Amino acid sequence: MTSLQVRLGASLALGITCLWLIASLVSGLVISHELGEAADSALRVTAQQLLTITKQAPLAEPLAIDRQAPSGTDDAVVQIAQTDGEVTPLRLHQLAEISSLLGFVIRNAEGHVLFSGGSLPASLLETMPATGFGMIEGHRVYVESTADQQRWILIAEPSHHRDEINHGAIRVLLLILPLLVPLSLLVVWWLVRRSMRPVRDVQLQIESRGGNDLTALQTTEMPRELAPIAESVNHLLGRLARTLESERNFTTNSAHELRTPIASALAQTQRQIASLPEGPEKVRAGRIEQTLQELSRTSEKLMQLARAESGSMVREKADNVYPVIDYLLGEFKSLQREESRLQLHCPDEERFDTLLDFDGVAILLRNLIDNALKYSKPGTPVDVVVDSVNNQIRVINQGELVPPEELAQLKERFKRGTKGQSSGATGAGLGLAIAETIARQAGIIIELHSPARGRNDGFEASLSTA
Amino acid sequence: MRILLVEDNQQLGDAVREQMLSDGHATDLMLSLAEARACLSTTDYDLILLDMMLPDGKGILLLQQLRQREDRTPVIILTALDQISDRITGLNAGADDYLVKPFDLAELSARVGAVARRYSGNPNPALAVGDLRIDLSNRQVRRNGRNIDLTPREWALLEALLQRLDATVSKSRLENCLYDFGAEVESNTVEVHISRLRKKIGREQIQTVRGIGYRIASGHPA
Repeated sequence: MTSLQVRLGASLALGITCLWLIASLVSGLVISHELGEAADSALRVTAQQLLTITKQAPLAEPLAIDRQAPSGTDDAVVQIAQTDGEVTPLRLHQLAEISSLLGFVIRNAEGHVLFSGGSLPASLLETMPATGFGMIEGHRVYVESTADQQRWILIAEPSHHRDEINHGAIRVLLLILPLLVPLSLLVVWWLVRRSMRPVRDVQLQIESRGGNDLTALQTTEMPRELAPIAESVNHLLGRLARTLESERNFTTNSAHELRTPIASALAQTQRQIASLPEGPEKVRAGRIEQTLQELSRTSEKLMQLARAESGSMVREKADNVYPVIDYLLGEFKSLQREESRLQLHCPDEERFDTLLDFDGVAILLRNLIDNALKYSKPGTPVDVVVDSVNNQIRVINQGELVPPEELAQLKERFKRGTKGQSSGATGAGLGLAIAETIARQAGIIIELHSPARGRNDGFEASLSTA
Repeated sequence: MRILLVEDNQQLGDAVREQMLSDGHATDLMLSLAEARACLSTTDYDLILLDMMLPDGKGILLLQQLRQREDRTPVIILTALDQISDRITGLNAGADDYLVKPFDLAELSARVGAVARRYSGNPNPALAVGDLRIDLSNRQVRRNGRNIDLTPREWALLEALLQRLDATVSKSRLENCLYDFGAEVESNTVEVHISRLRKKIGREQIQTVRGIGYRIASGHPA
């Protein structure tokens, strides 16, 4: 399952990284262009300065200036005699500095070299390209002449100087990336997590809804993007509540509509039996009565199953249901035939906590007790133990052992026990299936044991909370 | 006893009424709350069998009204509502017992007998009066080890007298126990049945309190 938060965080971090790379590339290009322009401008200015400096120098004696100026004479001055008798001082170190970075050559109109400095490829010393900027043999070259076109200067700068500067700038931009990516991930994760809080709130609200809480989600102060989802969920909850309500009403109504005619048929049959003399007609009426009793039991179980499957018997909070257990056993005892058989044991506190409501507990226990009474030897006790220490209920009866393979199938629908059925009554095979369905919804575990724990025979069904 | 049965299903109501009559209880069958209220306004009943879902309302409303006006007439709820919460609601409203449909008529008879005995102040179904041994739950009377057969009406009279042991039961109350609504009432019917009962269980068992009614003495100081 993908996480929206992770996807959003990763996408944003990737996006930021890509944008940074593009920005670095564009910045590099812009820097390179601007630096190029600045360097060209500086090259032009240097060329013009050199032309100006050397314009009055004697044209007959070429002067070579190289970087090997006498040591310790950085500040020595080359006296360049001018025609008006004045001299132009040019500090040697300035020339040395220029010639260490650049190469230049100054020629007269005839093409004779008047001055040269720095290192220039031989081809540039021999030819004089057209005025302006150009790229020749890995050098940025600038050619300019004086206004009277008597002197020409060619100045060249090796292009690797500029490349070093450009590469340095790009390197700085790229070096930030390893720091920027994790930092942006961290910031993005924090921002996304913070932004996802309303989504988590909605998630918690939906999670807290259940069979007994179908109230609408709170949509106030909810982001506009989430409101339609919450409204859709509320719409669904409303439909679910109406469906559950109609299902409950249907169960209640069918209980009434089904029970009353069966009760009527059974009562009339019993009256008929009472009024008939001994004979085949009475026997036949007795069979009808038995069939009606079976119909009654089966319809009862099916209604219990419908109710169990509707999941409407689970509460929000666990509560002590001991009073219902006590009441239920009292009800069983009031049926005179079972008076002496059921025994309630409660060695500690009168307590069993469960999420099941009273009706659920009653149906669950009634099925287990019915089974215990039905499948035990007549007259033998059926023990109901409420163990508050382990929050457990045990329903124990005496009787034949149930084989393990049969025991494993008893919770399935329409599976009837074959051992120990002493009363001759047949069940619908639904009792334990109903109990299991109800128990599962409330997180109650039903364990079946044969022999009963601590005994050599009999059967035990125990309820414990997970 | 005189019983009011409130049940909207005519067939079921008839069968229950027949069972009650065979047990010796005069029973009036009413099909709605309105009819039941009309009967209660004119007649004293010893017990009410009340359905919960009636065409003109819920039976529990009638029960609550009875208890609000401190009418302690025993009420047994007969209903198709089988949830334990329904039962607890019914019992909290003042019902004495609760029977879920479909039920055995024998079970109903036993419950009716148990509730009636509880109200008579003697919940023990086995009674000893003089040399009579009476089992109220199984409707058996033995004298000197021999079973005595009683007709339903004779049993109804005996039960009414045993319910108020040592106290005088008025002739009109005994008449109430014998007749359904609509049945013809003759002035000497109670006397006739008392006479027959005396022949079976012993003349000395039932004392006549002239001008008031009849009583059975327990033999112990009242």
